[in-house]
Amino acid sequence: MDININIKKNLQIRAFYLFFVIASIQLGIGILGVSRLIYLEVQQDAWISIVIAFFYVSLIIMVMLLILKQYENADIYGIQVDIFGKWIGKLFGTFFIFHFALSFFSILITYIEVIKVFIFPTVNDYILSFMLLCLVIYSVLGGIRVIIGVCVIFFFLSHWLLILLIQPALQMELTHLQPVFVTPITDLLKGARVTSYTFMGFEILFLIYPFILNKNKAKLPIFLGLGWTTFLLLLTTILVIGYFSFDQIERREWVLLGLFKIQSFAFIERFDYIVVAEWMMVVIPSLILLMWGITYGTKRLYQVPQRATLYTIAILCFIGSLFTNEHFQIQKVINWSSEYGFWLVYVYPLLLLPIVLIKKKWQKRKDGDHHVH
Amino acid sequence: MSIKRISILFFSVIFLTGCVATNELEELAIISARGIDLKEDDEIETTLNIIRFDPEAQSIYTTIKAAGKSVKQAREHAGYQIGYEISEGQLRAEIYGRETATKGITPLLGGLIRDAQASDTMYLVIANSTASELMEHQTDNAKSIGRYLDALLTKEIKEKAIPASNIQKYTVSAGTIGQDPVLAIIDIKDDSPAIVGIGLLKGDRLVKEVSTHEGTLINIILDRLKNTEMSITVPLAPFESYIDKELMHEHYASTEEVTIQYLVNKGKGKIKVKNVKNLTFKTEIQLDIDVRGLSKPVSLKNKNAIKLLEKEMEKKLTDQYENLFKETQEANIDPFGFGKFYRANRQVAKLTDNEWRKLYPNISVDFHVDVDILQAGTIQ
Repeated sequence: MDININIKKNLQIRAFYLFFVIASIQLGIGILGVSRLIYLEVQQDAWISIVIAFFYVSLIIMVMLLILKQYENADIYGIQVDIFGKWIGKLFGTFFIFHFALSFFSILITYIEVIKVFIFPTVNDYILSFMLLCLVIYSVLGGIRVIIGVCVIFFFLSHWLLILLIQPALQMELTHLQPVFVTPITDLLKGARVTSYTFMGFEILFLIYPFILNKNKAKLPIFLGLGWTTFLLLLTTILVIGYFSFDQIERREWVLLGLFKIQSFAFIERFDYIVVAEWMMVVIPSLILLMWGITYGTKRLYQVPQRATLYTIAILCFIGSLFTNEHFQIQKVINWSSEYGFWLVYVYPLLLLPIVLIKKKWQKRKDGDHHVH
Repeated sequence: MSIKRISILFFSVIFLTGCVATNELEELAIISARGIDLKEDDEIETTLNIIRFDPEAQSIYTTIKAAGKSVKQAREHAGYQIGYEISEGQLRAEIYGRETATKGITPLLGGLIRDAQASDTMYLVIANSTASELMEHQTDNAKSIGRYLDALLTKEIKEKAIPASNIQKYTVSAGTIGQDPVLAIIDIKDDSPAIVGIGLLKGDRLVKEVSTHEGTLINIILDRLKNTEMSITVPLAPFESYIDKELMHEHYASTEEVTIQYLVNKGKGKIKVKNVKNLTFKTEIQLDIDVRGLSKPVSLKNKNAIKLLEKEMEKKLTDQYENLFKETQEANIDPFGFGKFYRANRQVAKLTDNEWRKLYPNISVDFHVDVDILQAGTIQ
């Protein structure tokens, strides 16, 4: 297996698109309920937790970029094989694939649940899951450039929903956010930990990095993407806290969707139906990016054709989604994904960095010695 | 596009519609209002105002009654009485009987919040007697009470004449520590449902009723007024020198007061905490008004007359606020939301509802009303 990869010119993307990739993969199902989870930990200081989480994620992204920069044009699968050798490296690579698969599955079943609760209580699971997976397969078959195109288009097609938030914003109760800075730091950190599932997804950078054409310009769009997600998270959390009372936040599962229940226009009375349907445009980019991560990873590690993995995973997820239709099962899958992802995404890069740096230094010295002799 | 692709698209468009359950309008009974009365043995009696398209019936509206242990069970029982599928998505008003409201309404709301199909814009109101009595009144407006209340409350709330009475506002107020909810009280007046007062709730129980005028006074603090009609009665004596003697007919002389009808262009109230420890608050109310009419021929030609009128109105409004505030202190309910400002300004741990109930009777509030007359109409 090659550590560095040669990407064909026609598959390369400009660094500018990383903004959409990062924003699309992070915004998904997590943002629907995360405000509530943070609020339960830290109450009105929830926004501070988000800011803390933002800085921590920024740190992790810096570390990831530093790791990637040590190599000429490598992704995480190659780097791990280089560091740990063929067998352990491939095992660690499989951990990443498994992580993508778990995230993919959790997003899929959660979105199906949301549709069932809000719009079609009687619809069969397999229809929704089949249709969503069809869209995912169709997009992933198009390749990396199509995937990124979908991210860009759906980004613009879904963000008009923000306009609808004006109405709840006008009804906010600002005293709910006061008094500020009263939560102890340990609670704030706990609140920041809760956001891990929502912020997750930026690890796709480990895979997509070799595809970037102008790598020296990659930093800005990545951080803008992260900044956009953080901004939306802050905005929605502050709105949720101001708009709902404590009891309401505690009781509502997808509290963000509750913000869309107040708008009413002459031509459409209930906007939450539209929002839930429209949310597909938020969910699909995350799904296809994750699916791409899975298929690309198996190709890199085990030389399995991407099509074969795509269809296999889709069928497995389809069967899996039929058996996870109870609310608490779905919550369990999300918790697994969030726990597993936490160690892999938020802790592992910090451990990997020193190893990579030491190995590179050692290699340089060895090379240096070589030249002298 | 090839013929293959077009046919795939064509067939999927046709066949996919079969995947979801269809709701045909002709087969639905749409609940537009629901009355709730508590009976003995935890039984809940619901009265449903329903819209259904029955070609045989004279009106599309009909009212049915059903009882059950919960609101949702009552709905199930109602299903046995009507040959249509009952749908809740267009529920516009939930009406609680007065007695039911005094026992607490939050437990009855659970199903509405749990059910994602129910709307958040629906109104909650209290019937002056029982809900079923209000809903079974046989006049045109009462028969279509859901639609009628929706139009009436939407208009009044838009004019800010009464505090918002919808489920979202209610649940926020009931759930916020240091704020008690207010709901409109409805009764039949001249054969038509009308807003007759404002119910002040303690937690989720109705404990006190105030007039709609006092409701507007509360709303100035809760919300901002904009183009709201109000009126006030002040003593006539201070205006002695401005009375147009020629127009002062005899029948005016019976009372020593003058009523002013005015339009509030802009009105806002602001609660400030003066001292957290001493529990002192300051409430500043600013009203920019146009005078629309006076019940007696007082001339407002003179600048001094305007100034005097402003002063008299300020005095009267301050009085009204102080009385209303004292009454709420006696009943220990906080519809103004002083408690939430207290909580927000106190830097220590959480405020509990009980703690605030103990403190509320002891707080002192300084009401400061500032009236600005911008226009006095075309007549000088």
